[in-house]
Amino acid sequence: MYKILGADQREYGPVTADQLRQWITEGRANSQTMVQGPDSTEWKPLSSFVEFAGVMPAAAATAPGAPTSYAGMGGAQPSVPNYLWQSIVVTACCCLPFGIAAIVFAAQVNSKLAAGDVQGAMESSKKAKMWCWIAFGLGLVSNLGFVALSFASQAFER
Amino acid sequence: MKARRHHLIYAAVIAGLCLAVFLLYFFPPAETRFYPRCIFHAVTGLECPGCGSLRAAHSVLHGDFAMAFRLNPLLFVLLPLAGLTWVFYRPAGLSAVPAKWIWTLLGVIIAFGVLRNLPLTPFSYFNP
Repeated sequence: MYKILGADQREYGPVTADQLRQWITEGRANSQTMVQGPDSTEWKPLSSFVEFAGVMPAAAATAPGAPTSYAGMGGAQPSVPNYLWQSIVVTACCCLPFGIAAIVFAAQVNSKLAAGDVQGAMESSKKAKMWCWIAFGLGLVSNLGFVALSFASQAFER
Repeated sequence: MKARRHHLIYAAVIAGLCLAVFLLYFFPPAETRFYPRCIFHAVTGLECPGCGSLRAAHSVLHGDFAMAFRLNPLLFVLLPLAGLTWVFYRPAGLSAVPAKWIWTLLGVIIAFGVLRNLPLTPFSYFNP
């Protein structure tokens, strides 16, 4: 069984050699694709696996560094998370301004994905996630502050 | 292994929801200290688009939908919308929602946040 690392840095597999051969012929993996062979935890480029040399298209070898196309990944295509519902929840419950920043980046993920810009979508996805956590953290810290204050004021009243 | 983790997460979410319903039914958020507060409201004194959600949930649990709508009408738009989105985008995921819809949603949220703070008759009704 083999695992491959997509252009999105996610693992696909484990798949059989036959399945991987099919991916190569369909252009989903090329000679630069990092592959983990059977009984190995080491990632090596697909070109170093002799068992696939026969099916490797010549075109792939002449285009070094070509990103692995995973637009054709079909059912296996992972969607870049946009953290939309998390953004809306933190906007309403935790911290309005940073939540809105998160929604803006969530919208950017979708527009970039729709335009085929997977790399850009992943960057926006990271920012959406970051602002969600910042808004959530601020909400959490300020609420712990409120609790502490209310305990303190109760203690003074007595 | 992964499926087991999912089950645990579902169980925790359901337990959390039950606890939330129990607390919201018996303890009115307007008069109880332990609920989370809105820092936006605490800092600015303004109502944020999400303000009133807990009080609205308390009202709904007691059957007072009219009061819940006054406290936060946005919930009556967002929750059905969330349900519809879940039905139509469940296989594709939220990243497949057209971006213009997200921009529209953001516009609606911000517009509601601004309008409900205006001291004008139809809007101040939603700032009880």
